[in-house]
This record gives sequence, C-alpha cells and structure tokens, in this order.
Amino acid sequence: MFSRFNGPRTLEVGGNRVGDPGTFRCLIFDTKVVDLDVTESQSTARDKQRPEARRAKIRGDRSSETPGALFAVAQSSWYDSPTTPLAGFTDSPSVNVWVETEASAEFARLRLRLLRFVVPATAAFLAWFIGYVALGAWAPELMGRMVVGEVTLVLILSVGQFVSTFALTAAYARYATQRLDPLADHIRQRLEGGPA
Amino acid sequence: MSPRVLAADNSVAAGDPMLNLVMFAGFVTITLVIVISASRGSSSTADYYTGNQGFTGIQNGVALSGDFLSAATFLGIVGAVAVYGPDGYLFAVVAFVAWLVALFFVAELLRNTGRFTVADVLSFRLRPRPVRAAAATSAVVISTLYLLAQLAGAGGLVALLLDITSGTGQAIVIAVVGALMTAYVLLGGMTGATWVQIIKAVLLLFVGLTMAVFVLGWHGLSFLSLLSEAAGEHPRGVAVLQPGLLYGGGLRADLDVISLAVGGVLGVAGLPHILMRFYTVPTAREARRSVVWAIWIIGVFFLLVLVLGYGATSLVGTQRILAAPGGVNSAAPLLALEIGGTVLLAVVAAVAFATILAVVAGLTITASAAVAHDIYANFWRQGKVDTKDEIRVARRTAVAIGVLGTAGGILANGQNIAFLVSLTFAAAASSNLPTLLYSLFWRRFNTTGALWSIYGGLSVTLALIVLSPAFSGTPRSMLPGLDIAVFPLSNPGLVSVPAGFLLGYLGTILSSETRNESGYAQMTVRAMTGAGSRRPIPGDVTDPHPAVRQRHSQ
Repeated sequence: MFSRFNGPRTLEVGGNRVGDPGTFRCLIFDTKVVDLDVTESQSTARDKQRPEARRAKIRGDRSSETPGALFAVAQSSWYDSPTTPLAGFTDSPSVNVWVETEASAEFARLRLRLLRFVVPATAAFLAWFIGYVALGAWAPELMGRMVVGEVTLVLILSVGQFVSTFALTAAYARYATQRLDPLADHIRQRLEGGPA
Repeated sequence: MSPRVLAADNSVAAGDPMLNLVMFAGFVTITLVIVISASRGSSSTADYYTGNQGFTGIQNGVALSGDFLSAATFLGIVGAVAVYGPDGYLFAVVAFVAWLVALFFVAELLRNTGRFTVADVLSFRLRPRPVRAAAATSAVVISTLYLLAQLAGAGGLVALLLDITSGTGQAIVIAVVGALMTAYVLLGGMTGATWVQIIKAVLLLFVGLTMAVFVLGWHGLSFLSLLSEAAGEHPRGVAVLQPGLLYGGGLRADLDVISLAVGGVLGVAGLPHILMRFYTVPTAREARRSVVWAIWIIGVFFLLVLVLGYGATSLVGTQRILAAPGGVNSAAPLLALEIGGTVLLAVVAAVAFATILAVVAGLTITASAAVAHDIYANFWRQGKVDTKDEIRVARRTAVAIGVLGTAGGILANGQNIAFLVSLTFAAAASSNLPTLLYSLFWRRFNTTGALWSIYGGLSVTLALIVLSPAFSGTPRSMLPGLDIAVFPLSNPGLVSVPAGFLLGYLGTILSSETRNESGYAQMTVRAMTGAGSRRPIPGDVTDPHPAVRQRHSQ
C-alpha cells in the first residue's frame, strides 16, 4: 500500500480556501506527478461529520523516490473537476457524486493506469498471436523446420503462446494488486464514506 | 505384454460398458448429493443465478476452467492433435490466449457493475428495456447453439463408451443426460452447477495428469522421444509435427484459419455462460483471482493435452482412432484403455459424461437467467416482480431449454455440427464483446449503437455461417445436398467481428440520441472502483441501479 510507504500526511493548503473542491497537482523534481486530493466538501453531508476530510491529504506516489521533495504545489482546483460548480458550497442533492468522481483527477489516473497496462499488453499479445497463426498459414516450411531433435518451430511457438499468456497473467495480477487496487480502494472508500 | 497386443483384443474399444456406466452413475449420485446439500435453504434469485456470490476466487476459477473444458475441447483436441498435429492443436492455443481478453477487460469490470446478467452492465447507461431484450436474445441464442453442440456430440461418445450404436439407444442416453442436467439446475441452481463443475474439473485435471505421466513414462520421460515415436507411427510421418495437415493450402484455407483465430480469441470474453460465472464471487478482486486460476488450470491442462494427443498417435495409432465409432473424439478414451485398461477407460468415460452434463447445466442456467431476469422481470414486468415469481419463470425456462436442447441434440445426433462451436465463439465475439467494450470504455456509446452491435453482429454471424461451406455445398457440409455457399470461409469471425464493432460505431454516431453522461460516469466509476457494489453510496442522488435497490429491499 503506497500510503503506508510515505505515511499519509495532511496539510492545510495555504492560500486556498478550505472547501475548494478538486485535486491539486504537485510536481516532484519535474518528473513525478502526484495528486493532492482535497475532499470536495460541498458535495456531501458526510464530509461535515469528518472535519479532517476537509484537509488536503498528500499521498505520495509509491514510486516516487523522494516523497519529501515537493517543490511546487500548483494548479487550479477547479481545473480537474469541471462539473463541480465553484460557487456551489451547498449540500444540494443535485450534485451527482458519480459525475464528480468520474471527473476527478484521481479517477482519471486510475483509468490511465489501467489502460496503460492493458492496451499495450493486448496489442502485444494479439500481434504475437496473429503472427503465430499467420506464420503457420503462410510460412509452413519455416514453421515445420526442426529446431531441437524433432521438435518443430510450430510446436515451440505454440508452447511459447502458453508461456507468454502465463507471463502476462502473472504480470497483470501483480500490477493490479500494486498499482490499481490501492487507488481504486481509496476512491471507493471516499465514495462509501470510510473503509469497509 | 505390450500395450498394442492388449488393444488388439478390443478393436472397437468399448472397454467394459457396464463398468463405464457404473462409474458414471457413481459420479451422478455423488454430485447430486452434494448439489442438494449445498443448495439447501436457498430460495432467492441471487441463490439461483449466482450462488449468492458465495464462491471464492479459487473455487470459481476451477469452475470456470470446468465450464471451458467441455467434452468437445477435451476429447476433440486430444484427437485432433493425434491425427492432425499442430493444426489440431491450434484451437487450444486460440481458446487459451483468449482468456487474456477476459482478464484485462471484462472480469473485474463486469463483476463491479452487474449482478446477474450481462444486461445489468449495459442498463446503467443505455435505455434498459431495449438493451436487456437484445442482450438476453444474444445470450439465449449463443447458449442454445452451444448446448446443441454439446448434446449432439454426446451421441458419438455414447456409441464409443457404452457400446450403444442404435439411433434409439443413443437418443435415450441423450435424453437421460438432458434430464439429469435439468435436474441439477432445478435442484441446485448456480450453486449446484458450480459444484458439479468444480468436481468435474478436478477429476478432469487429475485424469489428464495421470494419463500424461503414463504417456511420458512410456517414452522414457522424454517429450523428444514421444514426438519421434508419434512421427514414426503416423502415416504421414514427421508431417504430424508440422503445420498443414488440417488447414492451409490456398489463400481461402489460410484466411479460414485466420478467421477461426480471430473469432476464437475474441469470443471467450463474450460467451454468456463464462461471463455469468463472474457474478458468483463477491468482489472484483475475487473475479480477477478466478480468471488467473482458470488461466493456470486451462493452460496446464492444454499442455497435458499436447502430450496426450501425441501419446495417442504413438500408442494407439491414427488408423485405429479414425476407425473407432467416435472418430477423432475416441483418441482420449482409446489412449486410456491402452495405458490403464478398462478401469481407466471407465474413469475417462465418466469424466467425459460429467463434462457434458456440467457444461450443459451451466448453459441452461445462463439462458434461463437471461429469460427470467432480463426478459420477464425487467423487460416484461419492468422490475415489478417478486423473487418467487422470477425464480418460477427461471425454472420453467430451464425445463423448456432442457427439453428443446435435448430434442435438438437427438435430431442433430450424427450430423456434422462441429462448426457450431466455432459459430458460438464467433457470435459472442461479434455481438457481446463489441457491446461490452464500447459500453465500458466509450463515452459516446448509446442505445442505438448497442442494439446495432448485438442484433447486427449476431445476424451477420448467423447469415455468414448459413452461407458458408460448413453449412452447404460440400460433401462435408451439414446439408451436402444444398448449395447456397456464397461466403467462402467456414469461420465467419474475420468478417463478423469487424462488422459487429463497425455496426456499434455506426449506430452510435448516426443516431441523434442524447448522451447519458451521468449514467456513463456512474457505470465507469463503479466498474473501476467497485464502489456501491457492496454498500450504498451516501449522497448518491441518482436513481440507484436496480441491483442496489433490490439488495437493500431484500
């Protein structure tokens, strides 16, 4: 869990009204972007019961080597949540928590992280798979060539498809546990109002 | 005594039909007892459709592999490798790699957004009534075709294992299998079907492992010497280690292979009975774990199948396999007889029957859920229906599908309907997968697009298969006397999958429907975080999904 790595720390963001919704983007040595989540206090009544939620929490990214090296706290608060009216510090029930969450930078990051793994992985395995099928169809002599003893290239590549599928499965399971689950849990708990 | 001498006494290789029957009856008795005790006291719709989400990821992973390793995949692929070598193995590779699509894009997101059926996911952001009707239609069509293929294949198996060669006798056995399957579904619902699936998968894996160890032991524990023995026994020699025995030879044949591969690799993640399995676990993480387990089990089993296939070539011989009553499907039973005598054959026979039974039970549940939950409760009664009523409809549907499937299986017995399996994969890849992917990832997607991709993808697939050489026009077709084969390929995937995606795209951009932004937001946040799937969301002012509403009213 990345939050344990850096320890969750809270911070009053200077110059920023408490209650401003949205997410602040911080740059760490220009290389690492972490998000400062300011809980959107106008959105729900439950935040009133949790005053600490009004504070911005810095959650350092697990992969950032220098969690303390924040040198810039920047970016506007409304920027990341266009659907949230700035002046709307009301408990108006018309605010849709789903739309709000969907527009948040944290959720965008979760989606990006998921797609960043599955899209290239899918492109790679489909290319390798179609290539294997196409080689069998259009280069049968090559695929029929014996490599070790009487083991032909097609048999090696067939088993290779299994090896690559096992590897991608293990890689995804690991990636999801380390990179997706903590972020998803964070968003889910915030929506559900506390850890399960 | 060399194995071949032993085999010479059993040229038809029925083994001991009585022993086979006893072994199968034993399996049925044990599973029925388990099904009845596991499902005691369950009466809610959640119990019937999903076993009340009470399975762990591992249990569901084993059950998933059980659902997937049907009699067609086990017996069919062993035989195909024995006779056709790597070309016969291609289907195993296709079907296995396909699981990555389910792992990456479908399992977790589906678990988080739905409750009983695929249509639950779609109805978050699309108009519920039309998309439910469409999704249920595709689930029923695909499941029924798959069911038909499984039951019709039972005929050849009966001939081989029980030594019943008369048409009437086979029809009676198919009817018994159909009746048993319906009994499992009625008695145990999803809980029952899942336990049958788990027991069967463990047995299948155990049998496969035992046989593979025997085969390798016979060849000095060397895969290399197994291959050279197999090449030595095969009439075409080393050709059995090379591509070309089954596919290839001309552009059309090559395109057909590509078409099979495309339909297969994208089809698994759209098969309704596989998708429904993701609802039997409580969380997305368990759903992920179940796919990971399923991938390991299926992968290991398919690697064993390669050993078994070449083992059958080497120890049984291609001629004997092809001459046996079940043809290619008889390779695995004959190999069992060869290495373990009549007892091992009886075990393999029982496992093969159990496989048919379990898979058809899963298909029946899926189809009955689609009819009862989507069409009856939500489309027809618009959600105003009580649990008892819905379950009653589900059970009646299960009986109706059991009767229809059995009748169809008896009629289709002996027909060349092998194309039905690839048809169901292609249909799933062309209708369900585009709709699911668009729905989960494309903000602009709308109801018209979903209807176009479901109905369109399904129609294109069915039309192409009817116009293909698998259906008519060649001596090996289902209807050899007729010739309406204008489409050159036997596998529709290469055309139907892009068509399904294109139709979904065109339907979306051509319609003037307003976008459901908040529905999309709700669906995507739920899908990726699991929020709201177990607990209500405070401050959620949107009309909650029926799933949530129902859960709290229960």
